[in-house]
Amino acid sequence: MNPRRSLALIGAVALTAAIAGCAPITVTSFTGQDVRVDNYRTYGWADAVDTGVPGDPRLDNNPFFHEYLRGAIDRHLLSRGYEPTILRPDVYVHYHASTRQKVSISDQAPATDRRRERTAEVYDEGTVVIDLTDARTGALVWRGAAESGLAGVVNDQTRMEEAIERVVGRILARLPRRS
Amino acid sequence: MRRVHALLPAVLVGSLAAAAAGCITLIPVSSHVDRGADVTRYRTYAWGPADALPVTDPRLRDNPFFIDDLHGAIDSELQSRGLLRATSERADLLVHFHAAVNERLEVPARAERFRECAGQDCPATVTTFEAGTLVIDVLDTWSNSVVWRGWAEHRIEDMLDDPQLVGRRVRDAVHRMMERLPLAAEARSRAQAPEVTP
Repeated sequence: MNPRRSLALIGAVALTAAIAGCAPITVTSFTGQDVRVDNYRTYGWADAVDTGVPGDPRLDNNPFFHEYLRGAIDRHLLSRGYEPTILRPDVYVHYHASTRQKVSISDQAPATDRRRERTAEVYDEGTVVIDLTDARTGALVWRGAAESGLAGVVNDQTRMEEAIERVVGRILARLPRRS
Repeated sequence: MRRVHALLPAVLVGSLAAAAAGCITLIPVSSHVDRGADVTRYRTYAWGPADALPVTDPRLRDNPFFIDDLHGAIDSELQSRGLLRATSERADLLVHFHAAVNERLEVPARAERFRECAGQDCPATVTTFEAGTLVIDVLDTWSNSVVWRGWAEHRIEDMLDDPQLVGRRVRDAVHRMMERLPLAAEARSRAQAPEVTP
């Protein structure tokens, strides 16, 4: 086989593997101005949790997805030193989930000796946003978000749960730990 | 064993040819389940109250063939798996469905792209298609919580004006989804077992 073709094939396989199983997670977070998040001790769930997931009818109002996501947030908040309460919490927790398709264009790669080919990959990306708001003022005190590829994740319940655990863990790792 | 090996290529070629001719359409299906639910106790089902927008696309919502085919296919599959449709008594399970249509992106097949740019550099090409997603929810009546959600996804633009094709695809999708319903084996064995009365 033409070495250039072999290289292109290896690249395509690597890209597919990356999208399918080991998709990177991009995490962002910010803290409100002059806010010390670790001064807050207890949290509660906001009354109205939006169970819609724009972009994916499989996850829209899907109780298995939402229950696992909520459980993962609870576990990771606890592990960061925040305590759940239903009585006058210091902060309320909200989350939003959505999905969308994205297009990845590869650099021009020689497909044959005579012409060049630019290839596109279409993949589903999921976004989870976790907000903490001051229970007294309603102001946003901290927001963490993550984006990750979803190929093969939603159709496999176990993989979906593993992905949620990983994503929530990465987001809340940015939350200041309470000592 | 040798005969099986000899037949395998022929079966594969036959399947591929049939699929290419449009006789076989493998509709991707999957499901989520409440792992803690005791599925062995369910015996009866009924249609649950419809959501505000169970079918979001007017071409499907206003299509009586689609709705009839879907109801018929779900009834048939649940009953073939040993569940009885509740008449007067309260059902163990409630069933409802949602059908959504979304525009999706896809990359055309390589051969198709190369035809478009024969003899010159090939740009990246992305096209759109309409994807239909059929979701079936099964709820425990007593807890009012979903114990199983199944779904099937398929492109729909080639079938909307062909009611017979819609019917075939709906039946195929529902059948393949219901094969994943975890109560199937339990309910079937119960349905096949002789009734014992004290």
